[in-house]
Amino acid sequence: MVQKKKAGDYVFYIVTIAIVGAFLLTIAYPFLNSLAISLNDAKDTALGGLSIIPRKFTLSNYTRVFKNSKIYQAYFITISRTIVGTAMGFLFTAMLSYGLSNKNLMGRKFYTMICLIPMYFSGGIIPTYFLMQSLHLTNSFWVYILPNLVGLWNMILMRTYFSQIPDAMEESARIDGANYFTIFFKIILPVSGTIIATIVLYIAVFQWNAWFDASIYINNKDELKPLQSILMQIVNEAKYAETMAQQGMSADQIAAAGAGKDTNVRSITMATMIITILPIIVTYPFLQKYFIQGVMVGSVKG
Amino acid sequence: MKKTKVLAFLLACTMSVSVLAACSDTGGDSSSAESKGASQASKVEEKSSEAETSVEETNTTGDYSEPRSYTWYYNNDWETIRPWGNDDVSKYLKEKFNVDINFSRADADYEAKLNIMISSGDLPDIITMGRDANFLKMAELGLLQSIDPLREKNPEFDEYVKESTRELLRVDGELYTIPTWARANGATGGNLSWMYNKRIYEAAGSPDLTTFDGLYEYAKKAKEIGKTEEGLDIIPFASGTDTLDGERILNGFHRSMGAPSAIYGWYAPVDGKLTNVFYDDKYWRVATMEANKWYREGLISETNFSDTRDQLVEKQAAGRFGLMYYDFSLDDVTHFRQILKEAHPDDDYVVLTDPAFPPTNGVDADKVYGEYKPTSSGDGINFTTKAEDPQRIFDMCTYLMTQEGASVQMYGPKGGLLWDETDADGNPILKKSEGLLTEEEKNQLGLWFWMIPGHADSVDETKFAVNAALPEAERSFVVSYQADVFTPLNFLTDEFFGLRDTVSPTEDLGIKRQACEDQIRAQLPKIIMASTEEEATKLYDELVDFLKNNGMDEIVAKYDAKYQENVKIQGGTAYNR
Repeated sequence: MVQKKKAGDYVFYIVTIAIVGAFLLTIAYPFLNSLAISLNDAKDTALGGLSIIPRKFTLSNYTRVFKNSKIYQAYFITISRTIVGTAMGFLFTAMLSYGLSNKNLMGRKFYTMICLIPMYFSGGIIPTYFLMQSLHLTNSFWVYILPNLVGLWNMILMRTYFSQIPDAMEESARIDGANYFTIFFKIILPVSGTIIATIVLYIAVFQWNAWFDASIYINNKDELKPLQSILMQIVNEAKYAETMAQQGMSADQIAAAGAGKDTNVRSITMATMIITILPIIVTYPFLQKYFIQGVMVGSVKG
Repeated sequence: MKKTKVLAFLLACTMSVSVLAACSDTGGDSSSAESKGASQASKVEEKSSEAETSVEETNTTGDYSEPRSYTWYYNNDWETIRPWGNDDVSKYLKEKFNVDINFSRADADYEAKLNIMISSGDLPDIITMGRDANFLKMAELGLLQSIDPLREKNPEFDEYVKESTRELLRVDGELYTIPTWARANGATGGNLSWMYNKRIYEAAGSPDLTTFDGLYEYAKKAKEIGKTEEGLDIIPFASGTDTLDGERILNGFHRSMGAPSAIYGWYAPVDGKLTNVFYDDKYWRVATMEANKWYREGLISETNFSDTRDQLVEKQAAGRFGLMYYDFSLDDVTHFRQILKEAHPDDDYVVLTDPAFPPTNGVDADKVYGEYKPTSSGDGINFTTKAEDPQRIFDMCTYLMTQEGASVQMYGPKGGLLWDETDADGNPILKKSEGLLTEEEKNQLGLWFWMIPGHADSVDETKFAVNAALPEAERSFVVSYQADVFTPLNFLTDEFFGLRDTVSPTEDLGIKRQACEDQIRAQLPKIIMASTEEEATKLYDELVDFLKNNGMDEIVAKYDAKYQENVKIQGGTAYNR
């Protein structure tokens, strides 16, 4: 039955909307400000005072960024590693989780323990680098994919989800003569929409944002660097004067090093940042529904 | 059912064992990264003696018919990398020396990257790095090639890097480094200066700025005026943001007292001994209290120590600073003066010239020291043992240090957009002023970008001559001041070389030094911004106590020992007025 709205309810709504609105503004403002700077003429930006509307609208920052051929290659690498890394990563993680979720697996406790230990300890940068070097993965695209095939935290989430699927579904398929692969692909995965969307999103965002492995494992092959590395290079180049001053370099060294540099770096940085974030922002609303559901998954049994 | 279970388990075991087996293949001698590094080093030492003989055999000075390719790594995370051969300057160098170079640098965390490269043996052919602990470690491990044999084949190098500089750059008697910004004859250039805003100065009645007290009176008048014509608050005095800890302001005040230069890192020679500036009650304490006085009278803004560069340029472009002690050459980078003049054509920033550094009461104008310049900072280009035939790159670097090389670096190759012929002294005659080039043309030419190395004498002398040959309206603000005002005031000295290396950052004393420097950086703005003189004095004394209790005396002793050595080698200190 529909309750009549009292005055108190209206006050509650107004206060809630006001608080959430203010919160939204503080989060959205820096982003809108960056967008405005990227669409504003560089020399005009230096005069300051820009808020969320560009004063001298121009697309020249974006044209400059896209003229830099490194960006296209970096985009290609990032998109490839996101698609390939996510697909393969999801597949392997799911298969491992499904295997571990089966209560009849011999040695299940042993495997679980092997999987839990690397979650807490890792070898460190240099031993990992030696490992990649001996596997000939350095300077290769596959260093982005192969070490990230199984994410242990994701595996645990999926394992819990799979163990909640009623045994009856599996057994009925087995009676009809299905083997484990058929059960996995035809019964389990179609039912697990929620967890699939969640894990795919986690892995995809990780692959999209990753730059550290590129900086360590790729030497002298800039064509394999992803978008985030290029952005990181641009941002670090922009901060050169402060970095050099901190290292105690004299004024003329700073000036000599700075003489060849671009001067409207801030606008370029903002434009590059917007270009990097835009695909994620565009995709997020579509997957948001699954994401919210998926966060609660693995916590409630039954 | 049970059978498949057992078979599956055995399969899983086999797979795990094979994974472990793959690890142990190379795991034999990599039980610890250091032992691997050590075994690498001993292998490398054997190789380096072989490499030396093979280098002599393949040396090709003058004969560049065989193409060569190299990897060149910058040991920092802020260098801009551009592809070799894309712009006119690098294309010219590529054809002249028949070299292909692959440049790279660390995206971030370059210390980790360098450590990985050293441990794994994946070294580039050439590394540009500072003279820091990592450089000394690489020299110790035998990972670098000596450049003495290369010098013998190309003795032109010695004209540009003097004997005294070479002695300073040696590590245990071996020379590894081609300095990236060397000087041989003169202390050209100039960066730090006092400048005033024209409109505010005229509104204050164009006061006399030949003494330090004159500067003080002018700043007070600027404060009285209060607001610019556009209604923005005037900030009477500012010092720029490249060092956020008050060093820049004190650099200016200290200099005007006739004190010898304080080197960044808070040390200065006082009465012939190198000491920490905070122990110096004669000059530094007085300068600090003066800065505090200026702050208490509202002449320094509270955001002086926290403004980012963008915020600073914004204020400069709006003409809000009455007086500045600032690096005027940054106009070439941030264009603060150009942006100001575009918005307000009648406004300007005028650099003080006569005297450039107004003296305080009782000090003669000619007792004020200009800027000192070392013949080399120690930063340089090193060849690792991986480099085959480094002679080619050595020749290219030597060429870039000559006058012709500097002309190419600054104005593009001969016959390009900017120049075809040189005058009697070898300086290029510009067909067109640099300032008239568009952004695309500048990028296509690659001007000023390939100073990889650059030689300060060649660059500055050529730059000054070319600038002087231009009609007055087209001359560069920065270059004219450097040539006419500041170069005559500067002087060359190497007495401060290598002071920092006497204490390694990883040893106990090095950690204490870091703690001292962090404390100074944190406290100095507070001292300057203290609200009463008593508080400023109290904070200052507390800082001195902190330094004394944290090993500064020991550090100063070590620095002074090296300083006295340098002075002896040089034959005297430059601070003897």
